[in-house]
Amino acid sequence: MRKWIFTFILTILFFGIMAQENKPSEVLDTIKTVSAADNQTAEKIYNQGIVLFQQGKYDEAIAQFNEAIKIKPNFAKAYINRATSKVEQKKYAESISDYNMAIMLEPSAKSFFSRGLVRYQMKDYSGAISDFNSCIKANNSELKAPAYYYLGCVNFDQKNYDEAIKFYNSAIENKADYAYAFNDRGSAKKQLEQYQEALKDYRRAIQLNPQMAFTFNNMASVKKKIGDLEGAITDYSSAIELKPDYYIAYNNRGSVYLLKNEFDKALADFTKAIEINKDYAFAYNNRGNAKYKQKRYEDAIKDYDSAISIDENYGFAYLNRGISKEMLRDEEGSCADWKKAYSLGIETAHNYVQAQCK
Amino acid sequence: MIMNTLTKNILATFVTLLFIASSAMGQNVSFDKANFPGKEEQFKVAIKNLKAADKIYSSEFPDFKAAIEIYLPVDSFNPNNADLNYKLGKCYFKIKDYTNAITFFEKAKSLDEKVNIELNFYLAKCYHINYKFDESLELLIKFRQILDPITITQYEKLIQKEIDECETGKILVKTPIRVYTKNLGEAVNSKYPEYSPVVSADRSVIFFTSMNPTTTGGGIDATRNQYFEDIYFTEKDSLGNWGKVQNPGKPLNSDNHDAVVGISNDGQQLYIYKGEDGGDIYSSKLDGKLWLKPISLGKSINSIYHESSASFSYDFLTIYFVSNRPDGYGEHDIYLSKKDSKGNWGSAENLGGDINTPYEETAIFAHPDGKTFYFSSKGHNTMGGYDIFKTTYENGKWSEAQNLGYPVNTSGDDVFFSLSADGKYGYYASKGADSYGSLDLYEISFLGEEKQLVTNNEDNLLAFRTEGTKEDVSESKVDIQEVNLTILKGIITDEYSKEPLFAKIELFDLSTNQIISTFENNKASGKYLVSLPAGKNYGITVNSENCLFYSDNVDLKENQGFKEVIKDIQLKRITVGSKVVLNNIFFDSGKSTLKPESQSELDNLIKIMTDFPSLKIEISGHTDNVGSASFNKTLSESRAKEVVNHLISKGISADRLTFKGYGFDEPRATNDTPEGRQQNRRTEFKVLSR
Repeated sequence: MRKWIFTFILTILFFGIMAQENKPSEVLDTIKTVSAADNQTAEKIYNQGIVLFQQGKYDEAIAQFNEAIKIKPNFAKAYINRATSKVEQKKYAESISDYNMAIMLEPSAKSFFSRGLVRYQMKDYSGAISDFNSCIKANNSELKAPAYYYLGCVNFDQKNYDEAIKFYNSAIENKADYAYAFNDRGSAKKQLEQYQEALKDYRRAIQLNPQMAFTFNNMASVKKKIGDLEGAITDYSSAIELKPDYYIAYNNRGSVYLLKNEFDKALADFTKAIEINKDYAFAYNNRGNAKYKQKRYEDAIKDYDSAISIDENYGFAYLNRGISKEMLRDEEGSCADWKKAYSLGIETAHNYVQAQCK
Repeated sequence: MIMNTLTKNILATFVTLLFIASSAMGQNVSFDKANFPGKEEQFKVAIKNLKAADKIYSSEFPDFKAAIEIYLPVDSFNPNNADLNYKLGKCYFKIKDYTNAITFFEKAKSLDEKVNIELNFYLAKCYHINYKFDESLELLIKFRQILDPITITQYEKLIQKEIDECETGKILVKTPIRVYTKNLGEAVNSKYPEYSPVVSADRSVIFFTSMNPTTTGGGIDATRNQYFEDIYFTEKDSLGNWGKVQNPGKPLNSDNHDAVVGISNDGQQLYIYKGEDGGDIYSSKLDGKLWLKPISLGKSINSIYHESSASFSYDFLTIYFVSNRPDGYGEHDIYLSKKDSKGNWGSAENLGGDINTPYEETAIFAHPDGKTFYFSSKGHNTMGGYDIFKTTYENGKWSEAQNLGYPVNTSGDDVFFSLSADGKYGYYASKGADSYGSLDLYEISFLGEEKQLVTNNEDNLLAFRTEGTKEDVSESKVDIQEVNLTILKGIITDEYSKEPLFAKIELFDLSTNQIISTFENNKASGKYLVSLPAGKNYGITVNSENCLFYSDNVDLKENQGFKEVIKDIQLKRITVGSKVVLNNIFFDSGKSTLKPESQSELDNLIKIMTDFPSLKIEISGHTDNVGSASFNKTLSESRAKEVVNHLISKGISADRLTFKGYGFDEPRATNDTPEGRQQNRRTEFKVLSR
């Protein structure tokens, strides 16, 4: 379900660790690093592979790395780059065996880190944790902070927010201007309902990198949660300003307008989110809610229909559609929707079915 | 001297000012010839009319409409007489035209607030009824302040009641309940008044009262100048629409007033109100297609006092009724009476001070769930006049009467409310904006608390991840009122001829083996309906002459909601080879020991063997396919034998009884589902000879 920024992984491998935060560091494996030894056939082929990789020709790149490995079976870097190419092709299991080979041949902070990322992607959390720990032990000054950061993320995903915060702390200790770590620590605190602390971290993250639209978005959502609806609207608006196609922020701002009973504004935001991402089921659902509040039940149903046509397992859209149908006296329709919503895990719908349906 | 002139001038100015001020308020113009110079003739006519109207106004049973007719031209002649305006206000108040009443009361108040001590009180009442609660409260407090200590004792209770009702009204109007009201439409409603609807449990028929030209005998009640009341009904057609109104005619209706007050769940019996003997309750039964002549409920129920309303309990064993007999809590109270073993109503019991108040209670309605009751009261926390209240009777206690809330209840009288078994639809009479004229019947559906829509959002909680993380949604709990009962209904027919059969339906509580109640179906249509409140394990036996009985088991747990089960029952004639399943014979799991719950079914068996002394039968045991064939065969045989042994022990001759175990050789249903397997585990009864 979750997409990753694979270019980010590649960026790490080819151009440095935190290129996104404008801190280019050493280039990992390029022609320069290949020593000019007696027989350079393997290295040459390997370099051709890198060029092909950079052109996005992964099959051809892999063919080159295969060739290089054939000539030089202990060519650790070739394994690493072949693994990276396979990650691009979403062949995660194959990439893991290449990383294994590279680590066996030449254990390094970078290969542990890379394998850790792939394992994390594959939801092999314990594997990922062990790799990031190995990476930290290897004491690579560039990779230590990111390794802590990802340990934080792995824990976050497993809802171990307290643990996550400890790792984000370590990441920040190793890299005081680590904006991502501040953002994520803020998020972990939000999950722990430490809203004021979360806001503090988000503010720090924005200080460090004022371009992070998503942090503005996250900050806004915390403000919404604590009832500061005006503050939330301001921050969502900042997020949108920084990133005009930020449909998530439009959808969120619309939801705040909905809470404020400003239905026209809510409707406009949901529509904008849909314009940017026509497959954004949440925005259709939420626009349906705005129309319901305007007592436009038939129009609302059309939006829920759209949400459901995008995601046929969208339980809440069924729940909401059932509520609209009830207002139109369509008892059968609403009961059918609530039954479906319940089958998709929406408990409330079960109450409605039990009380109101035959 | 100079001083004196000055004083005079000041005084003159003051008087002028006073005059201006009072004319802004309006000046009370008395009916004095001097006030109408040059209009002597008109004045004479006005005085004559005024006296005539006053006579009506102060008579024992005033015709306020007639009084208004005469007062109005007098008022055009002299619109500024405080007393006349007050009287017109009072007349309009009495005929419940509160908007006009307010106009005249306000005018009277502007002319002379002290014209009548009760002016502020009546105006406050009008404001109250027109939902102007704050204005009403202000006047009531003012009214209370101006009363002297002696008069106040006379009014204090009335004032406080008005104040309480306004305060309640403010709260209820601020928090309306969500309902949807629908006029039952032109097939049912007319320009004549339709009111006091009662509905059968399955909403298939509504009986109500109306005053219209089709009244039996076509007579008009001279005392109210309206047609005599008659009972009417409408049935739901196959599309779910209410059909054309029908008058059941005589003997249910008479040439006099006939009003329906209660209906049994199956729609086969009615309680009716007749104005005889101070007001009595009668009952009538549907015999096939004809309603039988109403009979008085007898002296436990009917007294020389006013009995006005009654409701059936789900088991027909209790009657709830309204009477103003003495020794109650005041005015009309609600009473109950239980049927004794001979089928007579026992002595009346007052429902007690939790339900009955010093004010009026009326229009009791017992819901088919056996524990929920609706009634109308002018006491409790009414927001004005009668309001409809709900209470439940559980563990020997009545719950606090709960106001159904606005807009079901209004500041006026809200009386007669009947609710479908599923608790979703109520029926009442009202004069809504879409009324066909006068009172109409309305259906009200309860939408419950407002349902919360769920809005979904995402955040980018983790910086490295582009796709959003869905925000957790806490689903708000919506308290939904649930009805816990099962309606079992269907048609009882002869298996061979397919004709409707007249049958007796017995309902048992299997945990006690006590008979709960006996019902009959309609002999013309074969239709039956029983209401089964949740929380009991029911045994049901259906008996008809010369037929094998049919038995069924309905085990209802508490809190399982509302269910309507349609079960058509085909009874078998007692002929050789016919067989029935004994659904209420239970054994311990894996054993042949009869469970005590089997008692009533075994009694049924004994009865049929006694009723048909030459009958020879086979009792057979059947199992599902769980376990080995030999085990099941042995088990089923020993179970059949156990039943036979029981019959023998009760005096049935052994040579009339055989038993056999079939194991799982003769399944009735699939063995692949738990329901199927349950159907297959059974005891059967087969006629070998008769």
